[in-house]
Amino acid sequence: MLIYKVARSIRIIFGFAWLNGVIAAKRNPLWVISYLITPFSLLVLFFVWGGESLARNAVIGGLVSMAAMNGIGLMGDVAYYKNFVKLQDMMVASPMTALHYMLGLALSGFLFSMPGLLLMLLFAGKLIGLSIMSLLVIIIVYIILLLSTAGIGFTVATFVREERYVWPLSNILSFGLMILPPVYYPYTLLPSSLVGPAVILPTSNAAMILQYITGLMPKLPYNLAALLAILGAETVVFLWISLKKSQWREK
Amino acid sequence: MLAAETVDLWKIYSRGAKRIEALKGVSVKISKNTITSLLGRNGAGKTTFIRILGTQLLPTKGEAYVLGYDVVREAGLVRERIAVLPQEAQPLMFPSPLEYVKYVLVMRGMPLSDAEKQSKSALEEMGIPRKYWNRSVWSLSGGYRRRVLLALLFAMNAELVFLDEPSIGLDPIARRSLWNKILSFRKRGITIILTTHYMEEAYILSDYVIVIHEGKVIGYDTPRNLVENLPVKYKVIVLNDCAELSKLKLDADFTVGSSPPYTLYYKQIENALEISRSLNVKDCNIKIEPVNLEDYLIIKTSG
Repeated sequence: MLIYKVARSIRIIFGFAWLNGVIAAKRNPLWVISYLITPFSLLVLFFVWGGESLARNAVIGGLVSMAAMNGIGLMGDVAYYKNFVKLQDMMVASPMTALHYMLGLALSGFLFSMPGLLLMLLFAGKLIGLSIMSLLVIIIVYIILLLSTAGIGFTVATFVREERYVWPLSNILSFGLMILPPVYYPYTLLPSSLVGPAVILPTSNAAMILQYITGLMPKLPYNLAALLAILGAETVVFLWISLKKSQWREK
Repeated sequence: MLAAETVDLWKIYSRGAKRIEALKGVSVKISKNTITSLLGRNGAGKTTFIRILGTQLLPTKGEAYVLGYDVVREAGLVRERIAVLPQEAQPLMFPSPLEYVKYVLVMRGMPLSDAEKQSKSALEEMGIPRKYWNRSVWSLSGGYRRRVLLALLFAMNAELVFLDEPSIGLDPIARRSLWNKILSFRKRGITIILTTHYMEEAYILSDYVIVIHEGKVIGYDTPRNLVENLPVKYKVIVLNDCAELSKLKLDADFTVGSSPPYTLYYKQIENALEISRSLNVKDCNIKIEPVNLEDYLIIKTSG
């Protein structure tokens, strides 16, 4: 029974991810490209002004940004599916659960970002040089961050009644999660009082881990295990909040 | 077994300090393998009612059962057996009809190979030409998009289907074609509960009609019985203002309209004919018709 339930859940999640990620990307590749614009623009700027040394930070920032942008970007899908095409309403009245729905969306975000991720990993390999271990950590952190930001995006979006409200919200969240905190720059440039909040923010936390694991940053404000634990715990918390507080079955 | 049953069902929305009573103690029993239409004015509580039965919305109090299962405590069991077409639902625009139906079935837990087979058979059943199956949905007309949604519902193999205003925005031909499809659902043993503002649709499709007004059920019968049990039988529709009208309005058993067109209702055909004779037909531009389901709704819910 448990195996049947797990197999069914995987099918449900992959079915949604295929519909929302692969088919949508195939029919409209502009979406895939649009998620690459910000990280690659910054990479180009950093490279032109600071050469390879700054571009290395931009590559790490780009990887973090792509995960976060895809996670936050799900807000648009959630609001569109809920308010315009009523897909969420149809799926509430089906065996699909809010967790399936959210994981399907997050997985579709991952599939959507695959071309960009591969490209950015190629740059990372060229500019930084990646070991198998660092590659593995990058991918794990990328997935955890995507889940974490998808949890944030899903929760916020289910309260949005009009798609147009999503645009400013996602821009503000993107700025607050990707540009302001030390994602594209080392945390050591922050005043010491802001290091704690930066560790708590999932994007800057992930950037610190990746900067450290790729050798761009010689030390971390706390040990690696603590940072990974914080990121993991935040993901669980954001997913939990999204399941408990989001408007799946309306009250 | 009943398809659905509610016992003293209430739904109260709280918007800040404001309380809106959308349903006020609705108790109904809906039989299996029937088409039941919910009628009522805007904001009467129809959508709230089917959203509670469809497990999309929690009731405030009372009981609701679908196919014998409690919609609150056994929502999972209900959801395995129902399909819902929400008001103003649209298929996704980028996938093709075949991809959309197939993957939404997979999202409901159906294995991919079964979903593929079911989708093709449902698209065929709904009369969507094969040449459209692999084009993006956005290239299809509104009527075909609706059919794609119905194909999806059809393919779900649900025992009970909820349709919230399924024919809204369709032209008369497309609407009639949709009716055929809905009737074909019932032929397969599927129970249908729908809401509509098209009285002709409700009359033609429904085995039973439930009339909801301000959150309460005010009528539940076959459409024919509802109309036959109205105290008035005929109506005179007066399209223009004319001199004799104000006096004649006093003789009507029930009047609707404070400006043209006016509808004057009568118990006897003789009264209606007398009115038509006494009015200057050309000036007033009148029509005499027997009452129908729309008149039931107007008489019972206006004023």
